[in-house]
Amino acid sequence: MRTHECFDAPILSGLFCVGGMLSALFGPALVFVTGVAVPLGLLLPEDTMSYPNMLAFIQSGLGRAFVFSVISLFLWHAAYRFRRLLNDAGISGDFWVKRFCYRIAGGGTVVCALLLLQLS
Amino acid sequence: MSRANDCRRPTQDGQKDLSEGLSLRIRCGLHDTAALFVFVYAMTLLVGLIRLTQGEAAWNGWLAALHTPFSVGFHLISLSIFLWHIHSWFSVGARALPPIRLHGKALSPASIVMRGLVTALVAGVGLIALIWRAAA
Repeated sequence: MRTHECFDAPILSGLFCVGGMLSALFGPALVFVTGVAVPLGLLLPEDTMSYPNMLAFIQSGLGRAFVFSVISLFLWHAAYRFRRLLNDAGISGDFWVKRFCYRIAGGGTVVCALLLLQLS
Repeated sequence: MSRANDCRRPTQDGQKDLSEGLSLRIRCGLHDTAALFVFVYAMTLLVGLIRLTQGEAAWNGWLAALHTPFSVGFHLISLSIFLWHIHSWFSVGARALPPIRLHGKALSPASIVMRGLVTALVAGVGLIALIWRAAA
């Protein structure tokens, strides 16, 4: 158990850090585009997120890599912090808290990869 | 994780450290709560990806959901939290990173935060410009 902790801690911290950096650099722009600008018709053309446009974006190698990185790393970043939040809230049994948080992130990552493979 | 980045580390000594430790814990609690918005946003994108695989009608349904006032409101709150996250991320980074030297001089934490904010601004505006150019 202790050996396992020593093995995965740097990996989980690394995913947390890369996800945090990605969300700091691109998160606000992404939220603005997908959740504010496109729905309200600000700045961007109306068909920015149309089905053909998004399909073409996802089917490009760079688009696929970007979408996979954003979704999976955001999930790993959130899982790290959510685990700490639950620990700080006094929920006992870090073993189960850790499993719960990281299995959601891992599951989301696998689903994302499969969907991107299906679309390619 | 370095000690400087560990929100749960015990305070060093004295009452001043105790209050600073408490303030740090509150800030870290806010960081951790903000991560919920990062999670919900990532899940929103994942649902969008699922809808994209299901065809044009499903995708348009997801887009229509993004147009609802509830969704726009949620994204506006998320946007403010993501913007706060930029500052807090680089502030914590400035404390946690080993000294960074540029031209032989160690960068101050304020300088690291400022450079981080400028980088984030360039990355964000650059991404929006790229999307705008691709969609135009």
